[in-house]
Amino acid sequence: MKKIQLLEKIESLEIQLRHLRNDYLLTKEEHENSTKKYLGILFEFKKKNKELEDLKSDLEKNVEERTKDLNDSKRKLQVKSEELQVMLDASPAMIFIKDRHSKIIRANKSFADIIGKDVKSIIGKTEGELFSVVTSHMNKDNSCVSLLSQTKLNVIEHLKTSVGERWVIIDQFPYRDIDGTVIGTIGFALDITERKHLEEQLVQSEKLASIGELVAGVAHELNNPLSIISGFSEMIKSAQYLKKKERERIVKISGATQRCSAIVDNLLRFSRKSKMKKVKAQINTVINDALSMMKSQLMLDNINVEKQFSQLPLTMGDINQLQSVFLNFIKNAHDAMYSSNKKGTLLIKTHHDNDCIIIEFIDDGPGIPKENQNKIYDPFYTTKGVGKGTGLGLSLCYGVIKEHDGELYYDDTYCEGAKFIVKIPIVKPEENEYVNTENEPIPYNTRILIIDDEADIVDVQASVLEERSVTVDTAYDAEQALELLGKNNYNYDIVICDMRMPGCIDGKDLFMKIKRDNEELSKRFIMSTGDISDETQSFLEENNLLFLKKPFRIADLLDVVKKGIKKNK
Amino acid sequence: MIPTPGAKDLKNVIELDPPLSAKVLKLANSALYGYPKTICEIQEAIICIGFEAVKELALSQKISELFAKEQIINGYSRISLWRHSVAIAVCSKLIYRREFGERGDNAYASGLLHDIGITVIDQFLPSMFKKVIDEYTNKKNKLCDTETNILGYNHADIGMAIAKDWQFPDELIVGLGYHHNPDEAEDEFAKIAYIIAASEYICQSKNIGFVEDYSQNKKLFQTCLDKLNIKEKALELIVEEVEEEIKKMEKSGWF
Repeated sequence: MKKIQLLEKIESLEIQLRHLRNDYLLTKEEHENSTKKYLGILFEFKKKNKELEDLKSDLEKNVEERTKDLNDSKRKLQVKSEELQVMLDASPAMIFIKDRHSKIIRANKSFADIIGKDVKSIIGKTEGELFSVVTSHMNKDNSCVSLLSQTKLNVIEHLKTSVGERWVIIDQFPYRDIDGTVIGTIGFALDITERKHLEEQLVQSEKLASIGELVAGVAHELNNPLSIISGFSEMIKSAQYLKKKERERIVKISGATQRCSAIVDNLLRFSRKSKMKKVKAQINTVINDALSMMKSQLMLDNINVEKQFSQLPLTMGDINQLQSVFLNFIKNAHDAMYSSNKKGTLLIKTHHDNDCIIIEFIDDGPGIPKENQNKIYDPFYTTKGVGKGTGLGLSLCYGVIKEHDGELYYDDTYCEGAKFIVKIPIVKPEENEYVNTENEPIPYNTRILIIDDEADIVDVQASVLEERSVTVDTAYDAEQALELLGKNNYNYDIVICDMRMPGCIDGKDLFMKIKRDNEELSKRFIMSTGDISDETQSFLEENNLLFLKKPFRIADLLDVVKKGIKKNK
Repeated sequence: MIPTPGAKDLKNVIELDPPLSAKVLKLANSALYGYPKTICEIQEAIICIGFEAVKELALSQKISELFAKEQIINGYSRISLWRHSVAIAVCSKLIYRREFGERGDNAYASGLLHDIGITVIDQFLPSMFKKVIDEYTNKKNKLCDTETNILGYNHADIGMAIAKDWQFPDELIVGLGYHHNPDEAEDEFAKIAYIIAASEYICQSKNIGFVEDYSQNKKLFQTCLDKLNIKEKALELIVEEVEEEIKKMEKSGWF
């Protein structure tokens, strides 16, 4: 019994041992499986994690790229914007963009410059705050949308700006956003002040040109009568039988004639560009000559003249024209001082450096007000009353000095009156062929043919020459002249012929005919004319012609005749 | 149940059903497993208490729903059937493990579901079921015979039909269909039928849960032992473990 119990116990223990071993093996296997699965999960988890990481880094990369793109775009935009601004700033036009409340939201440099502020301080202002308008054609209330959407072209405004009153021409266009909604205006404005001035000057110069033509015509017409007055008055002046009083009077007539001649000459010179006749000139002498012409007037009106001349080198210049320039300064100074103080002192200084002769005209009159200083060279600008000045003075002077390659300017730093400075470059004088013929006699038995359509001119020339025992034949047109020439077989020492004559043959044609038929005589052909145009001048030069300038003085006539006779030999 | 299931597949299946997830986690954290750390995720549960354990937990939970509503008829109660099913499940599993050193992958499920047919009759033919239970209680014979007499088929037939319809593994189908007559099962899967039949006998002898066969067919039991080549003593040792297990489960609120 005990044995059986014991056997059962052993059996039970064996079973239990087997059970435990089996369970142990299974548990171990399951544990291993679990671990394997756990590791699988872990691996999967890690894989997922890595995918996530990758995704994250992809995302980060994308974000980074996008940011870079954005930054690039931003930089590109900025570059474009700067480019645009540079382009806008480079434009001479004023360019501005306004919002719908007429406030400026963009402007370029030109716009800022005319306002005199920097661009930043302009932004947000309205036009009204920036400009005061002298005269306006613009509707000020353009803030309402319907007006904004209109295009306005070529609106001219007269504005007060930091750089003075300016004329501007404005184009305005509606400023639309991408949808086409009007959100403001874009404006382009051009400063046309210069153009305006030029237009005014153009009008002025057209006026001038027509006056010039008129003047030239009148002056030309005056030449002949002046020649007659001049010639006869000089003849009378030298007559022996005159009483003292009569002689004085005739001297005055003669002087006045000379002045008239000078005026006509000036007018012709002004209206027609003509070449200078430059000769050896001593500036001090030219000034003295000019002064002596005004001397009595200056003394009479209590104008004292002080001269501070230094020794000047000789230069080349048109003496008559320079004299008229100096005369003009002296006259202006006189007028200014006399009209303000009834007295005054004119100081004339001359000196020179290596290149230039410098002449200063200094008066103690009122000077020229600042606002008029830039107008003084304008033709026809004058402060003198009607009939007292033509306004041509300074502009003529300016032209003459420019012709001499010199400078003329008003010294605006001088405050105690007016100070004009003239600079003329020193030109080494050419060896001049000028021959003084004054004291040479006209040879006995000289025979001269005078042709002029104006009988009195013929008369005056003939009278002068006949007085000097010259045999004179006269003709009043070319046909007569040719007749006489044929009759006398061209046996004349000199032919004096007017250039402009009515009929089919004028002076030039006659000369050409003589040149063809009798070249010897053509060398002693003297052309008389008041025409100093370039065309005439070149004709004379081409043919090496002697030339008597109308109106002439007796001395001029005799001089040219003597030269002609010399050519004969 | 799930063909070649991996830990991830199980986790995905459980997580699809939030109430199930909650119950599984509650059980995983219960004293039964006594894990020192609080388990918060299904994945964690699989790692901590093991894949098989979680699978069984989930299965039990889902099947216990069938018995949730108590019904007591003349010696039959749903809870007693549930206790019987769990006991057979645990017992079958232990036999596989202890006696054969095999995992017996389908043993627990087969045990748990072997009487699903009874539940079907209970829920779909309540009046007939009452009649069956009454007669069975009076006559004290085999439940299967009573069922066949009254209905023309028994709960094993129903279980097998359901298992086939739900495409359970063949082993499971055999376990459900032949647990009262394992001799008739195909040789390939007869082992599971013998094990369930043996478990029924040994558990009934210990009075665990519902009783299916008052006659206690000793001859069938002996055939099982012979076929399985295990000793009665071994089963007695195993059923002691089952009783302990069931007690632990009672404490953890399984029933």
